[in-house]
Parts: sequence; C-alpha cells; structure tokens
Amino acid sequence: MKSPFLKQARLWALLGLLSAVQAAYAQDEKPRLRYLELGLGITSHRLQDPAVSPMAYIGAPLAIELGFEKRKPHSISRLALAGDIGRLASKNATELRPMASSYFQIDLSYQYLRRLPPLSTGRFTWFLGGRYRWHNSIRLTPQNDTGFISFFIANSISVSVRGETAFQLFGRQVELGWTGALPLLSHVIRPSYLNVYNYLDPEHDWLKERLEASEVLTLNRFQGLQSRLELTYPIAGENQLRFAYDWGFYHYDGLRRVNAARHGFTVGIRIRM
Amino acid sequence: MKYITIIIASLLLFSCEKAFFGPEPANSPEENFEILWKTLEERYSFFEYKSVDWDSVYQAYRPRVKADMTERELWNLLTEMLDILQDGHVNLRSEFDTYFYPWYEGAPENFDRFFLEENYWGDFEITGSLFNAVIDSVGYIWYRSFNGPIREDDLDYLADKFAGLKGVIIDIRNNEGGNPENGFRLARRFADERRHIYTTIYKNGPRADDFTEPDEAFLEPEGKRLADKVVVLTNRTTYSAGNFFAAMMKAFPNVTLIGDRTGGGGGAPVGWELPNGWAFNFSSSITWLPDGFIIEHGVAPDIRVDWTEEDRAAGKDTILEEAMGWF
Repeated sequence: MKSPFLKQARLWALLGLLSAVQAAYAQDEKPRLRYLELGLGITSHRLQDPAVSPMAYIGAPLAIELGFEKRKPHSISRLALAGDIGRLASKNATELRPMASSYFQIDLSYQYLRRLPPLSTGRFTWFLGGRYRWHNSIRLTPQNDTGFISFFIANSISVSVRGETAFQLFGRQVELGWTGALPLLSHVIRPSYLNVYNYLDPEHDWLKERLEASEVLTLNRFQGLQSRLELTYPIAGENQLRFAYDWGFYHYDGLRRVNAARHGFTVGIRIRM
Repeated sequence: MKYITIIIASLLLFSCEKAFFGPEPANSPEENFEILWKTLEERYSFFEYKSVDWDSVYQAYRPRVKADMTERELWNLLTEMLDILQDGHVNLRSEFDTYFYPWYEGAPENFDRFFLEENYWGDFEITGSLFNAVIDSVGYIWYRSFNGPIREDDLDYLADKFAGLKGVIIDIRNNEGGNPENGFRLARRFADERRHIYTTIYKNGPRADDFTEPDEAFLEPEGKRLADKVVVLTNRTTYSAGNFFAAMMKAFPNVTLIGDRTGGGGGAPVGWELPNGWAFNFSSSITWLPDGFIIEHGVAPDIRVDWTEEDRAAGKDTILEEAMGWF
C-alpha cells in the first residue's frame, strides 16, 4: 500500500520539474514575429522555348505575391504564392504578325531557414536551409494551332541561403536581406516533342502521358537560380513596407531546351499578425 | 555608400543570364527557309510513306533563296516547296495570303447543300451544329464542320426524334474537319460495342524513325443510341477530323460508308512559326485502320457512288438516293 505523503511528494516534484523547464525556456524567449504579406509589381521575362517559337519571347507581365512569414530567434519560415500574368512577344512581332503568347506563371513555395551563429557575428546575420518550389509556367500561343499550349512545370527542392543586416534610413531602422536558392533535385514536366497531345485517341489520358514522360533531374540537366533582394521599411502599427527585386533563371536541358529568366520589382505591405 | 554598392553589385550579378541564352535566328530569307526546311525534316511524319526525299528538295530549293528576295518571292518559293508534300495539313499563313494544298482538286463535287435543302430536307431543324430532318422514315443529319460543337443534349434530342425510324444517315460531305472530339461524341451514339478504331504513332524525335509506340484507339458506346443502322455519306472534300470520323465509323459493322473516298488528312496537324512571323502547320502523326491501311490519303467508302448529271437534272442526289435504298 502506497502512502498518501509519497503520492503528494511525487506530484509536487513533477510540478516543480515542469516549472523549471518553463523557466528555462522563458529565459531564452524572444519575440516571434508573423507577417502576412501582399505584394504587387512588374516583371521582365525572357523566354526561349522551342515549343513556342524559334525566337525568344520577351515581355513585362504583372506580378502579384501573397506570403506568410514566421520569424523566430533562430529561424525564418516563409510560405508564398506568387503569380505573373501578361504577354510575351518576339522582337520581330508586328500588329499583323503577333508572334506572341499569353503568359501565366504560378509559383507556390515554402522555405525554412536556420540561423548560422558562427557566421552571424558581424553586422550580417546568415541563415541556411531549404526551399520547396512548385513552378508552373504556361504560355498560350494561338498561332501555333494545335500546339498552342506550352508549359514548364517543375517541383524543386533547393538549398537556400539568406543574409540580412539592419541600418538606419530616414531615422528608421530598415532591414536589407538577400536570399538565394539553388535547385538540387527537380521533377520536370514538359510538353511532348511536337507540343501536341494525342487528341486522336478518345480514351487518351493526357495527364498520365505527361507524368510518364516527366523527368527527375539534378544540376546536370536543370540549372536554375532564384535570388531576392529585399528592403524592409517599418511603418505604423509594427507593419512594414517591403521593396523586393527578384531574379530567377533556369536552363532545362531536355529534348526541347528551355531558357527562362525573370526580373521582378515588387512593393509589398507586411501586416504584423 | 556600402549598401548602395551591395545593391548595384547584386543587380549586376543577378542580370547575367544572357550568357546562357543562345543566339536568335536572323529574320532573313535564308534563315526563314532553313528553319522551315529543318523543322519539317525533323517533325514531319509522312516522308517515308510519300517517298519524298527531303534532302534532295533542299538541294533543289536552297540555291534559289537569295538575301535580297522580296517577301512575296520567298513566299512563292516556300509554298512551291511545300506543294511537294501534297498534304492539306501543311500550310503557311501570313497576313497577305494562306497556302494550303487543294487535296480535293479534280475530284467530283458530289454535294450541293442548297440542292438538298430544296429537294430533300423539307422542314429541317438545326439542333446545335447539326442540320437534321426525317426523310421517308429515315433520320438525316448534315454536319458541315467538326468545328461546330456537338453537345450531348443535342444528341439526346435527336435520339428521341429519330426513335423508331429505319435508321440514320450522317452526311459529312464537304466537312473539312475541326475538332475530332465532336466526332467521338457523335460516333459513341452509334457504336454497338467497344471496338478498336485505329492506331496512331506520333513523331517524338528529330530522326526519321523517331516515333512513339503505336497507340491503339478504342471507342465505346455512350449515351442514348441514335440508331442501329447507320449510313455515312462522304465525298473528296471530307477531310481531317471528317476523315478520322469516317475511319472510326468504318470499325462498326452496323455502319456503311457511301459516296466518294474522303480527301484524307490522316496526320495530326501541329503548328509553329518562322522568324519573320509567318505561321505554318504540318502533319505530325501516322494513323492506320485495324487492317493496316494508312488513312493519309483518305478512307474508301463501302459503296462508291458519284452524283450523276442525269440524277441532278431529275432533282435527285445519287449518293443520298443510294443511302435511302440501303434501309
């Protein structure tokens, strides 16, 4: 038979332990910041896709971004949905010879970065982590008749790095940050060689065929970079303005090579949650 | 100043993608010719079937391309070269002209829509894209273009309208094609069971023998049945999706094809453009019937009939009369 005193002592010991753990964590506690971000901007695209044209297509689609960022003392995570919509055209295009595509791009990405204490001793703080990105680039080119839809879809896992620093600007502390991501492993889906689906078969399964023809690639056949330079400026209510310059590039070395580059300037508002 | 330097350095560093982009082709007569010829060499599907030596075509035509030739001169040269392929799915398009090969040239016309309207259709209806009538207890449908959408509701309506009749005539004479999906929708209403309709291979690489594995296409019945007994009327102007419709209907034992051989168009057309902005199409696949017959040059009818002048003078359409006698 157990004594009631012993039972009570165990209960107090457990409560004491929990209290000690809580106190230990409380000593290290720093503010956790959460931001909801909405950005708008303009981009500059250059696309060389032989499924579209022998010519490069260029244009300035509009950009919209929606993001959610969580910052802890030792980590940053960011979920983002970004879209571009606009028109790309050849330099040889005229009113009567359009040589143009309607362009749509949707990117969904999640990035997680951990602070690198050994490298963060100076004015710069450095982070290292990974990024998952689902990139969808769709171009509709009516003059190509049955081959009017071309696309590049890539699911990529990237290594990601970020450096940031703070300084005074117009009497306020602003933050300058740069993030780079290099895709290491990608699953790429492209149109068929002729950029035409098998519309002659009533039971044809387009998605199945495209997935069967998709490829898992590494740096040898899919090289890309994404870079983002951000300037964050505090405004009222702990909210922020963010000015960002994005640069992205990829080269897909498949049966139909693709080169694509994107520059984007966006202005976003970051709402403290 | 340090931060401005960082920003400028970043801009310069991140704008270096031009090194990865290849050069663009020049917009010159030579380059436009080269791209058209090369694209067809790598992607056109019927060189072997048509016994066309494309290299010798290059030898014959390339020397005729001059740097100072006018656009019209280049156009004339390119279309003359494309004519060698004798393919209605090969075309070239600009704002001043459209080239295509007249696959129906020299064949009997075998169709007159207004003659039919005057002498046969009576109080016809136009259900969606389908002109339809009842002629001597036989349902009649004239489908003038496979670009005209066919909705399931249209077919349900016609199934009710034609219920209890002797059968149905599908008239696709002068139907130059469009979307094959409309043909599938219509054919499913006549199919008796799931059957192999044809087999297709697509070009999938630049070498002459780069083709996909053969894809056997099947069609099965779906929706309210339109008729047990069916006659399909064709002429030489029936092309492309019309050709494929005739091909798939041939697979079903309850269907009879009457009229002239279809015009063909058995390669799926796909398009691209030249550096000067001219767009062009070409055939990219080969399709054959279950018995191995390649349908590029048309599908033969079960009963070959031409419209005679005597019948026309007598107010009769010989092909339609033959079909009516089939029921």
